[in-house]
Amino acid sequence: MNGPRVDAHHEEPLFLAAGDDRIFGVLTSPSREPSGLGVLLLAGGVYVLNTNKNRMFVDMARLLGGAGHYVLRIDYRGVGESTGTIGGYALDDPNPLDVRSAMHRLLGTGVQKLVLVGTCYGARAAMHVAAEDPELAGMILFAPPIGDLDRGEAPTADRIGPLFVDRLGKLAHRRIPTSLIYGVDDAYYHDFQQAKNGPLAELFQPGSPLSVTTLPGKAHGLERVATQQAFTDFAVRFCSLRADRVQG
Amino acid sequence: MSRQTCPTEVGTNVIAEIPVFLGERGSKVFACIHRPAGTARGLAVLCSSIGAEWKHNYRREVLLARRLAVNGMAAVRFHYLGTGNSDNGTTDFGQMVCDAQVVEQWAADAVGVPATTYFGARFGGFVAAAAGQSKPLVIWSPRPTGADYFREVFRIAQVNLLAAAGHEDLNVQGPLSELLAGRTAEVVGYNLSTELYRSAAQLTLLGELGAAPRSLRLVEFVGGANSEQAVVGYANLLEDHGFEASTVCFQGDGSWWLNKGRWTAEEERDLVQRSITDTADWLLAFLPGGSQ
Repeated sequence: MNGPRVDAHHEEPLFLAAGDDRIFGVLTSPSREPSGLGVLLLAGGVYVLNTNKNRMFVDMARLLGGAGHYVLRIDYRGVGESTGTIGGYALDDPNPLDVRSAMHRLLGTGVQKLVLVGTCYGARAAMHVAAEDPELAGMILFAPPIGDLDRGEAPTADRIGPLFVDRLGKLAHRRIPTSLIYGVDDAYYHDFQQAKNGPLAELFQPGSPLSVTTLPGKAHGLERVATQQAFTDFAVRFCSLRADRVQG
Repeated sequence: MSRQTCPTEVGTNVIAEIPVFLGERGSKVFACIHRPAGTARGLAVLCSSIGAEWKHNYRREVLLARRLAVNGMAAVRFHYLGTGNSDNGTTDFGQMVCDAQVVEQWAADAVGVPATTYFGARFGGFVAAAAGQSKPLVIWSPRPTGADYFREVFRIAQVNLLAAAGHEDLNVQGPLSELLAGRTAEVVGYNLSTELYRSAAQLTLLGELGAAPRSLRLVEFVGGANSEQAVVGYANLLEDHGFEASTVCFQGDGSWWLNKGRWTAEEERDLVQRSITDTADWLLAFLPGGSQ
């Protein structure tokens, strides 16, 4: 995506206290008048770093910084530069201390509102922790699994996770603009489609703040650069709209 | 901008970890130094690989750096320009070697001792061989030539494209076709630039190692006897050229590009612990007075 972007001159590597551990992160500061919006980027599981695949989050953070937003991306405990040991990437306990610590740090920059952007496990971490946060202005959930157990597969209605339903329900009822993004060939999308036509149907009635965007092919895993670019473009546009609401 | 130091507990010890951006605006390189609690008696420079291999090995390199620091050898890790947290820039082999040397000089000034050893993982082995000049060197999963390295990468890319058949655009060219046409190639979701390919396709590890003698430790993660024979055979070749090359093989690690499924923490994996212990012990033996 073209547009103003900051460089590493506007970035600060830092460590955040989270329980007994220190969480590594990179804080990107805006290069122009701050928009009032802070954006937290949460990567997926299995040792995905704060940079995300092909440093997609670095590119995204620098574009968002160029648009006037503060941005923070973190390594979960036990990942990358952070201390500690990662657990089993449990979807029912997705590193909440780490996420809260990062949200606290972002709010410390003086921003009024937060947008959380998460990929896969990071999407579940975002909604798990922030669905009820009073400062939340929006959420982008990229390929979130909808089950709460194992790797979140939910091919049948009885496997849909109560936590996933609970958090999505809270976002809907609070009217938080929330975008779910899947690839049309993602296994998680097939699970989600069935749930959306069944138990989740009520949350997606006309006028719902929840929306679904699909990308070609398989998006989960971000294994195509075109998918990474489409997601980055989407996130920048989404945050721009949220910032307009903060300023308005 | 202030620099934050993280006191990191490693066992019963505490080391200091300091992440920084080095260099001029627009071409800053991310680095992290791991300092012993007391005076550093040596310094290791760790050179990562690229693409998915960078991510695959990242935590292991952090753990290796911490193990070295606990034992008195400072360690510095970094992201090549145009990769990771570093600024955008042209990533070619010469730039990568230059990045390593700049980081080495900064770290040596920071801890007050010159670099004593180098480490490189897969493609990073070429960088470490060139940047470390005559210094003792450990290479994880070394490849004799750049051509050998890229041949593996292209094969993995093709396997990944075939695995996606029916779901993806099959008109996508393989990475070599893209590179030969002067376009950035894509390997399992990672960019591979023409500049890097052109600058490294003709490399030989022997050529980058410089003048013998030089102490080398070649570490291979093998899936069968053939790969073990290959690394031993390559070590013999290096010995014939006057290098002091030893080898060690650890069973089983799969492809560093296609390894997606492991959820077990690296700290709890026997393979990881044994390979880090072997590498750390070998590097620490070059401290003044040895590892103790």
